[in-house]
Amino acid sequence: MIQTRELSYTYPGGRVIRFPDLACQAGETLLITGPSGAGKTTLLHMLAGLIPPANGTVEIAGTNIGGLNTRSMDAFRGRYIGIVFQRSHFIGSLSVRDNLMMPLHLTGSRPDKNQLQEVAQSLGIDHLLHQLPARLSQGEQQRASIARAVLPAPNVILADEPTASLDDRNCEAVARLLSEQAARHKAALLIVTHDNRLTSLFPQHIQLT
Amino acid sequence: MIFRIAIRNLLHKPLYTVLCWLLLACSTTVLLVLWALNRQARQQLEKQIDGVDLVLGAKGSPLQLILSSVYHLDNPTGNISLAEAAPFMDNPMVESAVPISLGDSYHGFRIIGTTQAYLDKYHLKPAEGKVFGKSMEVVAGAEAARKAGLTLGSTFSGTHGLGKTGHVHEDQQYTVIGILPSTGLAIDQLLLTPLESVWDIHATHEAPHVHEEGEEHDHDHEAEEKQEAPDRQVTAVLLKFRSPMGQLTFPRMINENTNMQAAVPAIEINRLQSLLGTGAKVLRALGWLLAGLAACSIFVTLVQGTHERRYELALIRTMGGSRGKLLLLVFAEAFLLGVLGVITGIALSRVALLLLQQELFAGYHLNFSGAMPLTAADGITAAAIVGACMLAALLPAVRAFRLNIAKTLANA
Repeated sequence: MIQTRELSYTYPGGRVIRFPDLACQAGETLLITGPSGAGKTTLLHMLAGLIPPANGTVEIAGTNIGGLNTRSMDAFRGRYIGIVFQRSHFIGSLSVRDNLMMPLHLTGSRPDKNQLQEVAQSLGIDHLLHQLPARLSQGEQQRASIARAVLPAPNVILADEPTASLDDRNCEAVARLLSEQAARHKAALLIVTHDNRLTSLFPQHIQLT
Repeated sequence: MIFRIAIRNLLHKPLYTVLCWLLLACSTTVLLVLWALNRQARQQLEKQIDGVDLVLGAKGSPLQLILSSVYHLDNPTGNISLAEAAPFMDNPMVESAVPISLGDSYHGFRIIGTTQAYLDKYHLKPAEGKVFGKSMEVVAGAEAARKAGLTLGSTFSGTHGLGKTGHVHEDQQYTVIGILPSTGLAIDQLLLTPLESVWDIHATHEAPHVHEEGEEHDHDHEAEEKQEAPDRQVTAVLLKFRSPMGQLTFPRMINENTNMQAAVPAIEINRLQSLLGTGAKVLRALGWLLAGLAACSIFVTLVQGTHERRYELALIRTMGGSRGKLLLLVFAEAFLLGVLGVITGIALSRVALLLLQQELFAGYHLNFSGAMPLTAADGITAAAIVGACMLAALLPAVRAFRLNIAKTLANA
């Protein structure tokens, strides 16, 4: 579902990082770990098409995203890629429900109320939909951002340190929910993290150095 | 969706939103009220001098002569002899000549001694009753009749002078025999009577009465009392010419060869407007200044908003929103504020005009009922204000458009 070849990135200072090739099929989870400064976030941004690689290609659902212009990349990202950030960001003035529906509105697909309810229920946030995001706890916010990422049924879900700001109990719950939701929506899940609590949970594992 | 976010963002920051909104509404109100007043004042001033090409009166300030004899606002400059004015009134170049004689009033409404030609000038016929014929008969203007409680057959005594207090001519009673329809002109506030009434009242005074201080002296009483019937006096004569030639030759002839003065209403009104124009200009500058402040406050609000919400903007991009959508979002906020402010301003300006109308009509005989409809100038002003809002949004919008999402997210 997602596949990279000979990816490398040149930082403004001139430092070059080469990344190992990686591939992840639909329904699978791939954990990418590494110490700070190993280029984890850079890799994730390249995978999401937020920054262009210096060399190499990223292929998602059969499309080489290097060939897309800014506008098509934005649209492609909305349609095929769901992103979960370390600290969840929401549109502060919109309710949780509107925030979850946002990617659907932005990509022009018809929001399905039943599906929203179902996903929210499976993540245990269905009673929080009318709240403003700021009223939710960290764990609830992270679950809401998982819901937001999976709702448009993306082919790839990218998670950037999704558990770093959570305690042990929430960490495991969020990681479990993330992989469950990815499997349920048949999406490839890539988790970029330095959180060692996750290594025991996911068998597929790539280490950046 | 973008408009929805824009609305929610505005509601999320009520203080900033209300500030921008109020500034916009106030500036729109000030500008629109000024436009309407200016337009109506000009129209009304010009409407009143319609059919008056020249005013013949006693020497003094020409503007005062016009104000007193045409607009019935100021005090008269004095009296002239009807015999002296007669050659000019009978001149073949003159189409119509309407003598008027001021001096008395009733409850603050001026009693004007004149001839039927005064009514003909306005193409007016009494709505009730008939036109005055004999001395001491009165045709009342609509407003004067309503406010002073005069109906057909009412009788009243005039007060000497144009103020509310003064010597009351108790021995002479006017009778109302006609009431004019409402016109929206100064005539609504007048009580019209034949010239003879004024002459009769002031001729019967046996001895010169003692005037109180501050009272208007509109008649030369000593001269009046010595006079015999042929040398009657009037306050002014309103002339209308058959040809523009009269307009050219009369003022010079009168001002140089007689001890009367000729004033051209059109010139005096232009002079008055240029005097008032400075004040209007200052007010208008103030209105635009307010609009500028409103635009600045929108600019600050949006710059701060887009900075504070840069993660949200980056988020919209990661969720499939294009850069154009971010541009649209910022412009939408400015546009919503602008339109809301302008609409409120338009509504407020109409309310303000409604309130001003009564006051202006009573005080200055100006009818502003025509000020209500919006004109193209109002539309352009409103559009200019919304345009200023959009201009204020330009920089924040471009900043949102050029936002580096990877960097923004990495620094989260």
